Amino acid sequence: MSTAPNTTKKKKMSPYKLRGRLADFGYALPALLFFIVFTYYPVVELFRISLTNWNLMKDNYAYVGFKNYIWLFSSTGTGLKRLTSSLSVTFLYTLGEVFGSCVLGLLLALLFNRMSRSFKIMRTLVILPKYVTISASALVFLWLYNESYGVFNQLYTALGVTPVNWLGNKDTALLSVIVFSLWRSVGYAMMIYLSAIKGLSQDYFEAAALDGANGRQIFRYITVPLIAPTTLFLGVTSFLAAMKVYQTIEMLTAGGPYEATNVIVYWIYSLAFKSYRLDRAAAVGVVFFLILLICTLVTMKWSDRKVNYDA
Amino acid sequence: MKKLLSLLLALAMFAGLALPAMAEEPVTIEFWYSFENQMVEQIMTVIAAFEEANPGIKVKPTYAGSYNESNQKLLAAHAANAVPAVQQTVQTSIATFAENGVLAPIDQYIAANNDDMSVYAKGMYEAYSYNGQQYGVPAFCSVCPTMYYNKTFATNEGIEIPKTWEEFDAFLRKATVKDENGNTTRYGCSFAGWGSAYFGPIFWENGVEAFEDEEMTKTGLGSEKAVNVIKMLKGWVDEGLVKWCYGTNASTNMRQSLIDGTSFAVFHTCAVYSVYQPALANNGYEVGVAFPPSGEKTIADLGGSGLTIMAKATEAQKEAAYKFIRWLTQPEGNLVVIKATGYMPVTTECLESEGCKEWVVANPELKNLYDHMDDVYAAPASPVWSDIATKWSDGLAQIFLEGVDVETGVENMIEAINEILADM
Repeated sequence: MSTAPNTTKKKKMSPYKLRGRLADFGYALPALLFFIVFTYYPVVELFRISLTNWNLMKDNYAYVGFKNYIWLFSSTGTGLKRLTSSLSVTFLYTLGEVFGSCVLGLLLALLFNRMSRSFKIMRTLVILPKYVTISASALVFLWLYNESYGVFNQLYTALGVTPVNWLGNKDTALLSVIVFSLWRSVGYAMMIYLSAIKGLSQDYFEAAALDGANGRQIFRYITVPLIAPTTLFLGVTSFLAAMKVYQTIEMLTAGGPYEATNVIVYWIYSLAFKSYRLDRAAAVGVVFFLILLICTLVTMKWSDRKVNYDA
Repeated sequence: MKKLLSLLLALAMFAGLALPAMAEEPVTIEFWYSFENQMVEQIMTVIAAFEEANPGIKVKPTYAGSYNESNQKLLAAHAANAVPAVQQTVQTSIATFAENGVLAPIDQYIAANNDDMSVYAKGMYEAYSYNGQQYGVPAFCSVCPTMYYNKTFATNEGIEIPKTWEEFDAFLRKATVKDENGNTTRYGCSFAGWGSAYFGPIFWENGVEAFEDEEMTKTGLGSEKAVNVIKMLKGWVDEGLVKWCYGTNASTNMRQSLIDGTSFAVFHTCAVYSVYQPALANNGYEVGVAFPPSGEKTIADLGGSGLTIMAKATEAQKEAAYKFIRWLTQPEGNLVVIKATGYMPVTTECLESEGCKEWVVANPELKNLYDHMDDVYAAPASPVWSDIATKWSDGLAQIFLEGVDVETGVENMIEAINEILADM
């Protein structure tokens, strides 16, 4: 009985190819090492710390199992209450920033989708705040929002409206923070949308116009679907950035008033460095990491089905 | 055998030559400070004088940022075994740092040098002790709250500054100015509602205890006496006699209100005397300074910071650091701090020094604080005091500014504080 030749047998890699592969790996190695040291190792370490009672100060600490997670999810302590409160604030802030920057960015992109000189200058002015440091621009906004001497309240007083303690009132603090963030981020969203719109083939628009579509219909059925990958990109990147907001909160409200702006990263920071509970901060950090991971995976999965990349 | 002997001889000679050289190597101590520009230059002069007097010690001063930033860096340095020898440590961190072995007790150095520490103001000195051990010395100390008032208004309108909380109500009614519509145009007093060190003493003076037990497991901030104080304050806020300052910009706005005359008085820290005095003078006003009114007790909270030595410094560094912290709190160093800011003298030596006497002659209002040097005490040494103080401040602001009624507000506040205590 004759045996069939083994077609699945792996072909031995030539030394030349192997050298090439090793060289490729060598080129990627510095970046890989960087990621291992500064990203993956800290994540593993974060999880390890969350299983201890370490507070950064004591040299001796013990492994306490899932005690910190039990604190976080137990309905009897402060953990769950503060986690839900902090997550609500974070999601509200994220919703405001992502939705606001995408909508306003798209509207501005449509407005500035011309190449006249004056529009170029205006575009530059809109994107400029993105490149001013948060600390510097937040200082300006602290004065704009100031209850007694701020520009907004001076205008209110001139109009006979009672001044508002923008950053000191629980009903207006988060909104004020979102407005500041939008002022910084909307120019970036505009530029991304602008480049996407300029990259679209004119054939679609000409065909739609020949079919008798009006401006609104062209926007609704041609422009919006074709720039969906850009919206997805902006949505995912702004979502991840907004969920991790810290410096804006530190500069404008320090999590107050009454924890109305106590976003999760600020809470993690407070737990670690104000309450000296690094163990609990690590547990919240791990949970937050998982939340972000799940959100990103869901978005990517959803985008595979809904977003059209053909354009 | 001969070879071995000659090797040993050579080693002994080398050791003999090297040891004196090593002994002469100066000890370097890193000093992390948080004070701002207004006194850096003068403090460096004091440090230079210290180095001259102690040729075996080199001081490396490093700005470590605000108290919070400095603490964060210190924790990282402690974990990495790369600590400075001396830190300017905010008083509220002493209990936590001492409990966790970040700070070195200094009792052995006090004993070895036979130093008389009774020269330090009692309350200030005790603020740097924990569980019967001393962990540092007071250096940059403030009275919280210090009552600043517009002395020009007081003189022109014949308004007496109240000595007790009972007199405070009548004082507020005289000092407050309202327009024809009943809107306040000048508050009798603005209270710093963002920090418990500023409003806490009003409660302590009126008999409230922060904790009902020695173990600090049950808060007294919801007691009947505490509720009475809250009701008294709320009454004044509702009537437009008092402005309760809270939230972002609260400190700036309160300070500005005294400077521009929209507040007759404010409760703040004595550390900003050097800000108020020239700013009011610039507007044609004279600043008055008073110790807070008395109740059942006469007491103020201790603000500011002291000098501490790190547990992970080497023994040689600790010994040098002890000499250094003592040097900085002697009259010459203390006076630099006092004159640059408004901080308090921390020792009787300084208070009785010629330099301090001259300073008081030039700034007679400060005598009102210096007379109460022994009435200044630290906040409760609970590791969770900072969290409790935040809940307390938030709770009071909700009652005074957000329309929450006193009973509900106190109930919510105490529930939140008890949760923190139970969670320790």
